[in-house]
Amino acid sequence: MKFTVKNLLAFTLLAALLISGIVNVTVAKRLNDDLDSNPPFKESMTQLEAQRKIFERALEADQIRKAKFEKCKQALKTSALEANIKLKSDGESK
Amino acid sequence: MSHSQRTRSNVLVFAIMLVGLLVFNAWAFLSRQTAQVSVDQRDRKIAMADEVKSLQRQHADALVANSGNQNLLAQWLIYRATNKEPFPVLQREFLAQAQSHALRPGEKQAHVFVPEIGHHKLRIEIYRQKEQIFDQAFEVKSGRYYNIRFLLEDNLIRTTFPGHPVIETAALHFVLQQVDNDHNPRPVFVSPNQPSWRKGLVFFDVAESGVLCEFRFDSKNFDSMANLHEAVSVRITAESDGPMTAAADDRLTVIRLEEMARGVRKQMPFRYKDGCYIFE
Repeated sequence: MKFTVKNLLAFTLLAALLISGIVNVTVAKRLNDDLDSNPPFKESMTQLEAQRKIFERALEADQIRKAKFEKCKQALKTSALEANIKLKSDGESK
Repeated sequence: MSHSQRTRSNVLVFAIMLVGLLVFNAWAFLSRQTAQVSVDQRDRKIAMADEVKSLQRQHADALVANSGNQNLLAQWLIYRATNKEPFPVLQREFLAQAQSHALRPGEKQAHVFVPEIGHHKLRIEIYRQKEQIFDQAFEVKSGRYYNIRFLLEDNLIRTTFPGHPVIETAALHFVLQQVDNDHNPRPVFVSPNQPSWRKGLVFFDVAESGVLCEFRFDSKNFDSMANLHEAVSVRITAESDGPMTAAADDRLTVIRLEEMARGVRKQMPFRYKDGCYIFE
C-alpha cells in the first residue's frame, strides 16, 4: 500500500473518530460511575423547590415576627422613658 | 486483483470503517451527554437540597431565637449567670429605682436558684428583699397612689431548653396594692365612677438588663379582685440576643397577681403574641 496523502488523511480521520469515541465512552463511564457512587435524591426538583418555597415563606414570617418584636420593644422603651419622665416631673411638681 | 479493484476494495473498507466509527462515536457522544445531563441534574438537586437545608437551619435558628424571645426572663437569667453577673446587678438597679420612691420596710429573704442546663450547671443567687426589690408608683388624680411592685418570686416556671428538656426559672410576681399618701396599704377598690382611675399605666424599664415590662391597668370593668384579670394586661419583652437561647413552653408560664390584703391569689396565664407577652 502506498502512503499517499489521501490514505494518510483517511487514516487520520478514522483515528480521530476512534479516539473521540473512546474519550466519550471513558467520560460517560466515569460519569456513570459517579452517578452510581452518589445516586441522585429521590425527591424531584419540583418537590425540592416546593420545600424551598415553604422555608422561604417561613423565614419571611420569622423576619416579620422579629421586626414586630423589635418594634414592640422600641415602643416599650419609648413609652417607658416617657412614663419615667412623667413620674419624675410629677414627683418634682409635688 | 487489478489496481482498480483493489482501490475499490480499499474504498469500501474505508467506508465501512468510517460508518462504523461514526456510529460508535455517535453512541459514545450520546452516552456521555446522557450521563452528563444526569450528573448535572443530580448536582442541581444537591445544590437545591443544600439550599433547602440552609433555609431550614436558618428557620430553625429563627424559631429558637423567636422562641427565646418568648421566655426572655429565662434567657436573661442564663445570660446573667453565664456572664457571672447574676442578680446583684439587677437588684442594684431595682434598689436604686426603688430607693427613689418612698418604701415601706419589709422582710428580707434570700433564695438560691441552681438550674442545670445540659453540661452547664448554673448557680443564680437571688437575694430578695421582698418589699424593696422594685416599687414603682404613679399618682392618680384622686390623690392616691397605686403601687405596683415587681418581684422575682420563687414560683418556678418550667421551661424547655434545647439539649435539656426542662429548666425551672423564676416567675414574675406582681403585687397590686393601693396605698394612700402616707403609703399605708388599703384594700384595692376602684370605683367605676372615677374616670381618672379608668386607666393606669406604668412601665418598668430595666433596659440595661434587657428586660422591659409594660403593665396596663384598666379599671373600666374592674370592681373587685374577682375580675382583676379582666382589667390587667402585662407585656414583657427583652433583648433577644444572648449566648443561650430558650424555647419556651408558654402554656406553663404564669403570672400571679396577689392581693396582699385579702391573701387571695390568682393565677393568670399569659401568652406570647406579636412579640409580647399578653394576658389571656
